Amino acid sequence: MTYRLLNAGSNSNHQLNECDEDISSFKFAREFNNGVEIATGGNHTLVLSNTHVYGAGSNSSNQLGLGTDTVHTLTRLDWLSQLYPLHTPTRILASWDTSFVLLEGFNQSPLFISIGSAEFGARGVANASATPTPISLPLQDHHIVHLSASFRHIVAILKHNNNETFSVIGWGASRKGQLSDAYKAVPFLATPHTLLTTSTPLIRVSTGREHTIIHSADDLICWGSNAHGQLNIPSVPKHRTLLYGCTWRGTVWYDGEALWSVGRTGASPNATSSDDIRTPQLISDSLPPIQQLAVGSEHTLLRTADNTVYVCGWNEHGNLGLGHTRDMHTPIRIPLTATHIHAGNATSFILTDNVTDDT
Amino acid sequence: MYYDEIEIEDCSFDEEKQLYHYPCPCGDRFEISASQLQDGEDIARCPSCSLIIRIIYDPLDFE
Repeated sequence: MTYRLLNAGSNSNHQLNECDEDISSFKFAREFNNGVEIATGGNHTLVLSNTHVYGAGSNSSNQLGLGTDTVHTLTRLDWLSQLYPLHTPTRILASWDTSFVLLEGFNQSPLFISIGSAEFGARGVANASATPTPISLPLQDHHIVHLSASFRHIVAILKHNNNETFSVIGWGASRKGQLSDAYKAVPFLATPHTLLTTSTPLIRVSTGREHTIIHSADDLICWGSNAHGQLNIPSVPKHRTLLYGCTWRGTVWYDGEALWSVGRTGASPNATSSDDIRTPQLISDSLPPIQQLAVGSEHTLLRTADNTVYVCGWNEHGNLGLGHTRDMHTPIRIPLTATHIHAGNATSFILTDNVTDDT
Repeated sequence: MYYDEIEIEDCSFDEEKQLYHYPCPCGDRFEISASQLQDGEDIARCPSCSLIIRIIYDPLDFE
């Protein structure tokens, strides 16, 4: 099977493509023989496909570990297999100008490494150098359930391999309580701290600029800034689907029936926040069942069960891929299908297996 | 109208250029110089898009 990765939006550091301008209609970036996972920082892109990690965009903090300041096209990060020959990459993650890779290998202890900027403690290691460094996580007897980072804080859900203990571990910017109330007012945590331990299953975590939302089997755990009402997401009945993600200052979710938002989730980002956005707003209750939600800094992509893609939110950089730069307040269908979607900082990515989806 | 209000402790300071900066959701950075803050100007601009932020700071720190 051949997959084509297409992208649109802000391309100021070639995080999307080797061309020199923003991209307002989805454009071909690279072909892959397998599915992909995508992670985006402020100006860099990571793609994991079939045990290889590829990077593009800004390397000004060495977040791609390559020799140049800017990497103009998705380039395989061969230093990973050179430095860690007994491991293969299995997960990727990015914060503003820092990259993370989980490496696993037969009979090897898993490693979670960071590379790039250490500003606000993002590297998760004390006195981080420019070179890749493993972060101290208890991976010898835990596995990673889910991870999230987008701005300056990183949160991981771990489960013990031999019992029902779940832990939430975090590092990075902390001042707004995004790493739990216990570390509010601390500027940042430079190394991983256990933020929560529970026997209640933890399913997923999503991070905004200064907020964190954890989906537990019991309810939602919300930490950090609520300046725009971004934490005011109601409980969803347990039998219902819940898909959700955080914009920088808001939260978007699908409760199995309708798509909702609270806080600031995109369109007209320069406008002053009004009181009504602090309570849940219905975005649409007439969409087909949603399979995947991809939430970027100020825009959202969603994929329905038949791989149709809808987009909405801020569009100043053409990141909705609609061929124009007008913001969209309600989801609009794009004429492409996707098996995977991703939204970053004014960037959008779709992976398609449909050869007729061309640009 | 501005994108957000940001406290100066969340900004990074570039010693060489005497600039405070803060990430913009487009990938670029809002910028304001130390001398602008000293003059009482508090709007930081992103060179790549229309978004602007208001910097929350104590003018007494810049006297």
